[in-house]
Amino acid sequence: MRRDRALTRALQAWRVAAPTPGQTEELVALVRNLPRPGPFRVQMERERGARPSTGGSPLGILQLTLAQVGFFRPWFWLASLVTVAGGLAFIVLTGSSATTLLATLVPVLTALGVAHAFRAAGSGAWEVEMACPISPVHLTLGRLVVVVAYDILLGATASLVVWWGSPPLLLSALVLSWLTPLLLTASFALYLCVVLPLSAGAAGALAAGFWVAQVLVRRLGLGVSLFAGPGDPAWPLLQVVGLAVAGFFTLMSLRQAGAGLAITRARVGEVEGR
Amino acid sequence: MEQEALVRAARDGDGEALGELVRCFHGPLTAYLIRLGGDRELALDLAQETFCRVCLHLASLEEPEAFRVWLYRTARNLFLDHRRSWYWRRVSIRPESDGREQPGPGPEEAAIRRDEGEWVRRALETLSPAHREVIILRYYEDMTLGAIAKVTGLPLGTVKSRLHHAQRALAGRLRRETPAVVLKGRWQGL
Repeated sequence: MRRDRALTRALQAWRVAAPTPGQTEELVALVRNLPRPGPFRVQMERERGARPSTGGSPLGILQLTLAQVGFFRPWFWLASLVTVAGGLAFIVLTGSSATTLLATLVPVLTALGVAHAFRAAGSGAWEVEMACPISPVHLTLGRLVVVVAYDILLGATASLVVWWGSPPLLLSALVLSWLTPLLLTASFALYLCVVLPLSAGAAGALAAGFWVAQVLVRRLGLGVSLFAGPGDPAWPLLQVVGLAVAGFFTLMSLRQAGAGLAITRARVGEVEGR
Repeated sequence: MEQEALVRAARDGDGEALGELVRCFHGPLTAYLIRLGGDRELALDLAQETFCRVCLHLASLEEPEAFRVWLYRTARNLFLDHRRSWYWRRVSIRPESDGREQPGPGPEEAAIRRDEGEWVRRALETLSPAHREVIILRYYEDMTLGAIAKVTGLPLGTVKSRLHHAQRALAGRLRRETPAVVLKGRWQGL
């Protein structure tokens, strides 16, 4: 208490320059001439204030994610399904390596899905997103979850079908062979969108290109690649490295996400600079 | 008119009440921003932006008694946005004493007070931004712990512990670096 009083006395010694009366009157004139919001906007803002926040609670996040399902056109679901089904048919008919084909196909599909999911940030829909009570970055994260969950579902179904036909193959090894690359590609695409002001298509293409490069490095024997089948002695280590890198990209993206998507920030700056 | 009544009237479109509100809070809010950032011009710009935003959304304010907290919270958010945008990692508080405000009874007293102010400014400058902020809100803006929690968006317990540590750090700094002649005077008890 004594220290508190002494601090109060001491701190009062530092005085700062108050605005001049002229500056205050200028501000008064400025705010009095601001446009008054209409009744609709007032009502909207009151409703927005009363709306419970979705951030943090698992139920809120689930609701947000489910709400994003409607964002995807029917052809997205169908194209993904047809691509995986085509790959599966190819494996069954030609006897190709299931791990190789799924590990090539599913991550690329995810990267393209992420590009599709993030397209609003670079299109005319971003103004609508900016006006939403939920931030664009949360909407985008919700969409990313939808894409990843759908691709995991497709990949898992395909793995089960393949495994059913060739039981000697470990199901866990088969699933990991495409799951790690999928998570890596999705997290890399997210990271690019959050950190760099790239268009969604460019971020998706870069992420897909990254994975295709891994496949090529492996196929051409150019060096160590994350793309390795369960038969490779380095495979367990590569899985751990792949999952760690995916985790790193996800954490870095979520850390940056508070400042919004880079592409959205770039667009806002562009509009404000006009 | 009382503050709450002013807020209500301004919310309902009374231009005079809005002007009174601005006159009432412009000085304290600018002083808060100067102490937070150390730049008078920046503080004036941020205060103007704060009032513009608050006035634009005033009609949607449901609790007029929360106006002050809302105003300071908006100003703080704008300040933090600005700091992020400029990658402003370390805040440097520049001297801002002007001598216009209550200069004291005579030139000697004014000179002593200027020096005292300088020691305080330097001591505050060495605190972390988080500690400096709670000290400013508590001692200069005379806010309750609950109001500080609302302005900063921190839990009440965090505000209490942060303020406690900030007080200790500030008192220690003042004791160590302030000349004995000042400490033995009105600052006794630090």
